[in-house]
Amino acid sequence: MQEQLMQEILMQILNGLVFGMIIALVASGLTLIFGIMDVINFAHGEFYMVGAYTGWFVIGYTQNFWLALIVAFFFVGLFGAVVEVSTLRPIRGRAPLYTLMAMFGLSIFAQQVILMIFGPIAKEVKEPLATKIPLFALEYPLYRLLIVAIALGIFISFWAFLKKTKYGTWIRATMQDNIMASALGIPVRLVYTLTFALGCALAAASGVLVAPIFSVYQSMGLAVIVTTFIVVVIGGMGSLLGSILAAIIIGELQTVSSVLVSPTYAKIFSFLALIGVLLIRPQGLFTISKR
Amino acid sequence: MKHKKFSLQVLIIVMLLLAAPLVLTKYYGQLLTEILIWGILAMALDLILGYIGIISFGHAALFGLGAYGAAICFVKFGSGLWLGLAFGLLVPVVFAVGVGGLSLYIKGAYFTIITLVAAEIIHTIFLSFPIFGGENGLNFNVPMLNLGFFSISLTERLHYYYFVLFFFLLSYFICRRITQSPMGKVFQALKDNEERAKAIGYDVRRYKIVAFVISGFFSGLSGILYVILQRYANPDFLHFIISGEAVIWTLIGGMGTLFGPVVGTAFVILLGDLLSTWMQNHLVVIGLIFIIAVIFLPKGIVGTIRSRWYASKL
Amino acid sequence: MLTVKDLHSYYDKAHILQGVSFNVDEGQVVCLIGKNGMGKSTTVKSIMGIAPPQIKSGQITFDARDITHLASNKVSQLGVSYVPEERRIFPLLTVRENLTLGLDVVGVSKDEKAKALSRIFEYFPRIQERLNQLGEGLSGGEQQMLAIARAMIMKPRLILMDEPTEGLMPLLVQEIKEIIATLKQERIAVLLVEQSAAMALDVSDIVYVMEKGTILFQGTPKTFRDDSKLMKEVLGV
Repeated sequence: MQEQLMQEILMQILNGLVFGMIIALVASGLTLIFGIMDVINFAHGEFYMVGAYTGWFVIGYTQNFWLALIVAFFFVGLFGAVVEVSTLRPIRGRAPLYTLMAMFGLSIFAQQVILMIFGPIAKEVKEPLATKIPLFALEYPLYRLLIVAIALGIFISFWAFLKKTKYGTWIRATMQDNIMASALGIPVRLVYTLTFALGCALAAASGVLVAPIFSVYQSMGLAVIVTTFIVVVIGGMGSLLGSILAAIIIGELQTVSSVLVSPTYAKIFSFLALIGVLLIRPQGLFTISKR
Repeated sequence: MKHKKFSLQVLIIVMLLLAAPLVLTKYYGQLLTEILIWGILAMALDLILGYIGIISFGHAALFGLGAYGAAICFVKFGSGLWLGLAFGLLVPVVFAVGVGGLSLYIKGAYFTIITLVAAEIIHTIFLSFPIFGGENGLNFNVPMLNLGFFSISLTERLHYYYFVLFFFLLSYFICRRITQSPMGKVFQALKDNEERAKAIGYDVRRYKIVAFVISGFFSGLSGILYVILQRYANPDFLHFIISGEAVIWTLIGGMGTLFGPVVGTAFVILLGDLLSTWMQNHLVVIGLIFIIAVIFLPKGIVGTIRSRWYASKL
Repeated sequence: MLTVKDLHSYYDKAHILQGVSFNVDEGQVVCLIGKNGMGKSTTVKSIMGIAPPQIKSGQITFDARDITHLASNKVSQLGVSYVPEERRIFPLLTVRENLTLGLDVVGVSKDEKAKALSRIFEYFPRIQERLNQLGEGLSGGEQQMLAIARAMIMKPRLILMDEPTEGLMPLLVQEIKEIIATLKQERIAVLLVEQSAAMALDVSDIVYVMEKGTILFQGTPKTFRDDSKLMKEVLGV
């Protein structure tokens, strides 16, 4: 009995890592958008959701999971760029209230459009690999470990993009001082659009990766956004590394406590962690300076 | 002069509302009852959103706590109407004190995130714990309205309409008095420039908590009226979509006008009703209208009309 | 080259610039002096296209081109560089990245970039030593030098300098004076905003005194010094 519990916990620790990486992808997109544009994207979950639906759609035609991942990334990125230009740019100067509202409106709109097009029944996506590999005393799906690897790969590429490329440096400069960046000739409006698109694309990639595990349905965005907000705040708004670390912690917290206590208590713990961080160290656990 | 004109308009509207059941069909009578109930929620939200200027995506929690508070009284304690009402109001008020307290320490978008997350947690709690009836919620028999020497059954549509109308008008006039009082002016100051309000010497903390308490009170009232109409309490009453719709009604109607959110509620519900005869997902249109309103008509229907009216006077 | 005509700028409802007019010719060093809060910084920001403040009326032309409401990145591309009051070095970018950021926008070849950098090293040898350090690790004086270098590397026609000597030791103030002299040699015009009138008078060709959002006096350093009443008012001498 003891051994079975141990195995169960081990399984959940691995699941926590997988779940954590999924959230980390979404969270990094959200924190990127906030860090550079000072915008809290309340529709972020919907870009995740649209990504998942795009993936399902492409798989339906091509039977190729990896192609679907790439298409979803770019398609939702493009969609994000369109949203930024049409909806965020016109209201940029106004009180943050309006941006929040506009994005909230977008989330309702997007969910309903998807519902209209695809109907209420959840879509299933098959895992691209069904193999399980022996790990410690259990058999763990290889696909889930692959998710972790892919997510890590995406993060490393993204980090390289930010540090080594021209556009990455533009983004970093704009984040640190958008006024000076513009005074040096950087087309800051374009940087905002690019950043928003990237943030949405990251969320979309996560949606495709998670599809074989949790299936694709139109309110999946709401399910993920709550945890994502918790992670982003705890990790520190605008801190990429912070989101990743916080995501893994919250991922582990939620999966392990689901087994030891119950999923509801797991959510309550996360919420208490959120309040705790906001009261004690509002700039996040992993940021170095006060923002 | 302006004051008199205002009273005349109000009188006309009250007359119309009183006479409504005589002209409307059963279906529209029911719809109007719902509009009045949701209108109270919208007004409650406006106190926070339009007056003190804090965005809440969690008002469904206050609404639902009121609903469940009353339902539990009816089901578990077999209580009468007034006790259920009292308890149903107490729960969200107590909760609102806590939320208001948090708002003193956590500001801006972070607080909005808290409202969203907290409401979802409470939603999950009502969904998971069996004492609340889980997914199916709680069914109950609506207690009779005891007015001393006679009782009225509230299950009669007509009776219930006037019951709701009474509370709607009461809520409106109370909220109106509050927003026009010195306290209401302080609420507004909190939205415009909290630092200055503090500098002048107002105890910002007390006013914020009071605002939340009032908002919680009326949100809870709305929830109670709704739960009695439905005759059951369901976790769906705490779903995020209710918080979201309340925000939509309030903005489209006009934040900070108190009357505007009610207009917004009526507009959106009637539009939704109209659209649903042609299309299944009328929320698509509502969502799109909302985005357009945020960008092009941020003051809402009533807000825009009022500012145009004032501008034409200059 | 740069003409400012009857400029009115606002911060929200506050009417800061109430009709400012002046011009800067090729290779000239022009200074705006005056007490704090008189609108000097606001003028520079308005020229650079940085908002706030908002320009409600008036005109700014650069090379006969209307740049009044042009965004700052476009103004920069026309050949105007900005050294802001707070220096605004990108704290988490390296010194090298701070310098080459503007160049990369224009798009220069590796050779040109290397050439531009060595040019800068001649004027600012200490920068070469700190090339891979993060901006936030530099001292106040070094940050000021970097801010000026960053503006210079773009080979601009006009540099806007807002209070470059603020908080600096006299030795560094002297260095900045020499840099401005060098800029003049290279035919780069400078619009200098200074609270320290003494320093500005030493390097400028033309002096404008600003008071309460308008130009109070226009002349050369000599005519300014000759006007003892004005000297007393502005310098408290």
